[in-house]
Amino acid sequence: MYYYLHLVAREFGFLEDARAESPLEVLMGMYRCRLFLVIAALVGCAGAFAQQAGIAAIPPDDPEVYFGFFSLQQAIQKDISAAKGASAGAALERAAARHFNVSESDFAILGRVSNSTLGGLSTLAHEAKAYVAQERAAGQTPDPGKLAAFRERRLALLREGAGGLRRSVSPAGWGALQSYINDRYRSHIVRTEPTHAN
Amino acid sequence: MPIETRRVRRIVVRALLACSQASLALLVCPVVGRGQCSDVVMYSGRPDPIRVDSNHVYAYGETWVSGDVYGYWTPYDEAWQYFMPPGQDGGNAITGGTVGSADPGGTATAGWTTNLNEQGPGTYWDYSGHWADADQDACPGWYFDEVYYNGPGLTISRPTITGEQGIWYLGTAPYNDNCLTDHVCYYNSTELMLIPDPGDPGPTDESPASWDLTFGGLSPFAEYLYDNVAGSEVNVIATSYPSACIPVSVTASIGGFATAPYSVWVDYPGHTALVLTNDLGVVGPPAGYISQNTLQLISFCGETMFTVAVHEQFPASPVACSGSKGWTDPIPQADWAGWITNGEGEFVDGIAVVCPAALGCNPASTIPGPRQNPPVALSAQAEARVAQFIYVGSQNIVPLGEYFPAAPNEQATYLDHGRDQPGTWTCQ
Repeated sequence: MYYYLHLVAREFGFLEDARAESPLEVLMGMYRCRLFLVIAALVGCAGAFAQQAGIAAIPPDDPEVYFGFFSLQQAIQKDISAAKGASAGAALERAAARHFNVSESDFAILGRVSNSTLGGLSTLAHEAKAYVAQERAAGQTPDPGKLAAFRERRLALLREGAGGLRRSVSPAGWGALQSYINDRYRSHIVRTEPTHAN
Repeated sequence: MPIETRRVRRIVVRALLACSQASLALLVCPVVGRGQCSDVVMYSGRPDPIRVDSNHVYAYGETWVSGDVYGYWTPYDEAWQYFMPPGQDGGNAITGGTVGSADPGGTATAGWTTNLNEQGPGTYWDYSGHWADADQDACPGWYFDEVYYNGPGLTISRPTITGEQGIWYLGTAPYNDNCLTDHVCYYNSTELMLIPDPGDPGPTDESPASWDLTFGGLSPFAEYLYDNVAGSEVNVIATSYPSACIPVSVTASIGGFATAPYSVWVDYPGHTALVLTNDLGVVGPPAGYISQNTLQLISFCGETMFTVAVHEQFPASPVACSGSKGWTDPIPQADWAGWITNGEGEFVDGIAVVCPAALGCNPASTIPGPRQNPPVALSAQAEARVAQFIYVGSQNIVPLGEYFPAAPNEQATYLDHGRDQPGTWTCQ
């Protein structure tokens, strides 16, 4: 069974760079699976592998792509601030602007829009979490409609962020950023679904 | 530990954790609905590496969770730096994994920065693992298993140097006189340009390139001057001649990322070699000869010195050879000649002697033996000799000494012809 799962995983590219296990390791793996997960869990494992192996294409201008991109900007901004010396930080700033094919002034705007959007999302995340905690404390299951509403607000904030970016940077800068986000950046994002251990 | 084994262990651990926590959670508080817990998606991003500056590349992986209950998921990202040298297939991790995490609702990032000069040219990319753990109180049993991806690669080359690799030491001359009229010239300097890798911003006025010359253990015989503030171009100048035929090894670096060594040869006039003769007769009276000696100018390192201005000098008076029949001073001390060597480094040195007995030549000069009737062999007995210096860099005879002499040869006069003999030749 474990061998079967192993092969399934390889078929789907899930273990793309993993080396083959020795027969002993495989037997040990089978033993552990049987001991702790029993047959039902193994079926669940198979389902999990199949689910995670499924990779769906992300459409252009998907709000989640902007979320990832804004997060990347925030990480870069932190590194610019943390760089040793002003010249090192300025070098990273220039390099990032060049990498995204935008002017340094547009790159600065991108940083501000990213921080602002992510700040709003962080506040929303706390609000959503507080709501769920409140419901659970009251012995209630969170209302699916309200959870969906939180998600919609999250997506709306992301769309606002993208729109704000478009309005704030130069037309040339927006053209370069939109092209980068939808082509080079989006092409290297993969989404997967969660697994339940049963 | 193999990645598969680690993954199986993680599944096992999570399953145990989920079972225990789910049991506890069901007793204590309600969980988020199972349908809601599954309504999340994990995003795994591996953006392009960024060339931070000439000598550094920086890359990130990202993980985040979106969906109805994203606030209950803690994302993780694990990053390894992978490197593949040029001409090889595959690649290897050159760092251990570094793990980043973020609060629920945030984005986990993990990355690395590498020093290109230390690692060298090749392709760099981020190999990343992505996973997320659910708050087991809220979503017992749910997890995202770790998935691994190769990020896009960035191929890096070292900066390179271009420019003429040969320069000539011609004494005090910055260039040979022929450079005034001919674009094919010999200079005592060469302009070198530093070409950065296409992704490299290159040197700037604030962060100029640095250059270095080494001389293979010899005393320095060249130096360089910046042509611009950023140091993207320099002028390498020969300041003397090398004592051995060894190139100057030139390297340049931008922000610490160095070029491969680039050889510049400092060469200088070595000697002349006789490659062709043609002896013509002057019937007279008085009779004599015009001998055409084709000489080839060879550099110290064995290269032909083409299209360069040269002239001859005879600083000493000729002397009679021991077997001479009486020639004492037949070579004139004026009308020394100058030339521009041809594409093969050659020029024709004419030796004309018309010297009757009345002018001190006893016996008198004759037309070349093979041109006499009946023909006879050329005379084997040299009458006189003088050291002939070929000065390279100018055709000017006045002032003397422009600019650098090849090793002298021996110009010999015979009864019926003249020859530019090697410097090692001696007359008897």
